[in-house]
Amino acid sequence: MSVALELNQRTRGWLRFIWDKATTEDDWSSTGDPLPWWDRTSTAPMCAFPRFDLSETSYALPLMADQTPAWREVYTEIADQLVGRYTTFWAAIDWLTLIGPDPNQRNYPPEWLVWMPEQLRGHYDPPGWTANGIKPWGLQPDPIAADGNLFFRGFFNLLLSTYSYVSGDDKWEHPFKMTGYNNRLFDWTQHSVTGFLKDQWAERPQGPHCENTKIWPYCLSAAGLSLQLHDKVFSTSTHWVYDQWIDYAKKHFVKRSRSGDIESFAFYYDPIEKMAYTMSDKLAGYGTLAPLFYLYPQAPEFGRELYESGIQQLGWNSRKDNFVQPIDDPRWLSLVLMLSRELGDVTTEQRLSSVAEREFGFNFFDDDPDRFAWRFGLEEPYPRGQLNGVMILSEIGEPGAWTRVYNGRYAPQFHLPTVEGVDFPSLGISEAYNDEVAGELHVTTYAATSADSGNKTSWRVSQLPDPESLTVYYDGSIFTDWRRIENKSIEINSTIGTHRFRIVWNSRGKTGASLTGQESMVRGVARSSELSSTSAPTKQYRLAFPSSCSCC
Amino acid sequence: MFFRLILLVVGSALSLGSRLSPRVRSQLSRDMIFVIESLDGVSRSFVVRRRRISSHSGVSADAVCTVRFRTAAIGARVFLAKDAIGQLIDGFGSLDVECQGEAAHVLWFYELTMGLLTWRRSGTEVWPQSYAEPDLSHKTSSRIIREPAVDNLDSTWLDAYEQRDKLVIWQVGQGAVPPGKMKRHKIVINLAADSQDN
Repeated sequence: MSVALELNQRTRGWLRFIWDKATTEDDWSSTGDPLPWWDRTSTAPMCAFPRFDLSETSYALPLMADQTPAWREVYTEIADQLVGRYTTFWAAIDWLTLIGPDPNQRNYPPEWLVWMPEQLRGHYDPPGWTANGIKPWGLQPDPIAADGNLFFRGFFNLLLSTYSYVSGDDKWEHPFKMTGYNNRLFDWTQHSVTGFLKDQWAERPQGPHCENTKIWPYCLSAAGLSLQLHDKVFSTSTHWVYDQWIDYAKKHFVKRSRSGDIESFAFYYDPIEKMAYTMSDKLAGYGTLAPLFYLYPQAPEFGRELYESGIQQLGWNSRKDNFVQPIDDPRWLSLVLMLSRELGDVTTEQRLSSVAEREFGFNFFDDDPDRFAWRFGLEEPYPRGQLNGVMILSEIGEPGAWTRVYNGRYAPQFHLPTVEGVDFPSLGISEAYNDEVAGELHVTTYAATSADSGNKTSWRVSQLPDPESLTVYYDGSIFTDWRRIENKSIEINSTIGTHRFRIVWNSRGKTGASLTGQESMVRGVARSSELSSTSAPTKQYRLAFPSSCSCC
Repeated sequence: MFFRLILLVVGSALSLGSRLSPRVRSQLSRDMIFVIESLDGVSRSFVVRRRRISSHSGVSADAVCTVRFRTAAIGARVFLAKDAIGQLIDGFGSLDVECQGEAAHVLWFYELTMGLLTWRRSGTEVWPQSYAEPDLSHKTSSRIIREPAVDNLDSTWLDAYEQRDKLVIWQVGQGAVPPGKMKRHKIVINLAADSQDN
């Protein structure tokens, strides 16, 4: 866990917007349509599906949760809504509707053809065409239990692990329904998804494929990251399959010069066509950098070597040269900006940050102080969720915070005093952490909706060892407008705005045995989905509140 | 002069290729004009119409992409280099080369041209432990439902057809222009000059 810092203005604005998106009802079933603010356009053809917005929106959540470890209810609610949507038709629409060989193979424009090996262009399914149903695989109706579609279950497992990480509850460890071909439903649990992913990968060291039949280091690295986070949260041992794959990738996906320098890292390999796809010459840097966002926390040494090679090829670290970005897609700069910050490459970070500040626009919402997103030079009615979801990561926490989520020590504060019942999105919490040594909870509030500033509000602190003997400080002075409710909770009355609270809950400066002492996380035990009755989430999403969930 | 000759040969080869080679024709999916020129007077337009390429000297105002070299000598050097794409990227940075339009079109055009040289095509690679057909002995195979292969979406699932029509990949495959491009994407940004502007 990173050192708790306050959420900055941009992060608060992004949180406000993704709350709107996640908690506003829309219909992702086969007869419905996700609201247009879900991004199904970015980075076509590979990522132009709305589930990528679900995934990329979630990436900020564990980072934010590490900033406010004693307040997680809003992140939990957003993550829950994202997971719920991921079980629907629209999340799996590519696997469920892009059936058989692509009838449009000959019609793709030049800017898409360049994502395929030159020999195959015009008679090959493009990246993104999943081709469920083709020989030799046959039609596979379950989007999770499939020979291909690794990216679907890998990114889903990452989202599920993220939910566990921020929430500390076991909702998605219980059986749920996944929508399949012709609206058939399939039973899964979080742990059975993880188990399938690991078992399949163990049997296929080259890596399972995404589309039939392309094997992508990018998606495999996301899947590996999901296993790593699962292992961290549940003390399991699944991630070795990625370590095994890294050894394979070093031998086959990577091409080196005679001097041993990395020349390329294939975007994907097709074992049926027996072709690897890599961009030409210096553009190979894109392929080298692409998976690092996920790969680096899992294999830092190899990741740094790839980073240095890729950044060198593109010349993005040069102090004196002009900045050149041949591919017209802000995703690349956003990814590399985040990576450069993560790896401490200050020169590159400054250059990319300078480009982003000038070219990406300051705030999509203009004068709205409560919401924030980058416009990316696009004249569209809603900000791009996929691109913003990556870009915002450079604003949260300290350098290294992303890596620490996945491979750092797991020290959640679920068992410590916790802030709850906050009237978000009127009131926001920019700081909430327990200093266990001092026995203090630090909370800073802000007006998440400016129009509500000054209004009365109240919120609770639960899991206090002894509510009778605590002292509450408000902006430095002793504060008395609070009351005990229930056995270990208090309710604090306040107004909506920026205020600092310090709740001294243990004057002896020890955690002590009087805390609830509950397990910090429900330990994961993989369960067979066939054994339990199901509680499938609904396919529509109502405006949600912290105390509600989408399934019950 | 040499650069003019190179472009003439390229135009002739692509024109012939587009008539004789299914490989070339299958990549000529969109009618468009691609222009290569130099500031010292060499220029050639490559016109794609109905999966055929023709070329003529001179520029075209409605080109989807124009690559402009500072001199014809630079153009010739870059075009013939083994690492031509790398040199183009360097050329963008040094301002020896300018691209109006999408750089991806340049990559496509160059690789289409080089694909005519069969010895420059990359070959197949058989990597070990490939999984190229279902292995029913695998532990996870028992969980996978495998039904007979099909070529099309189930014709009775009308909702799915309707939803598929909304996907970018389907729309573009049907001939639409890829949506959502940045209006003012700059291939080259002079950060030093930008910071001085501030």
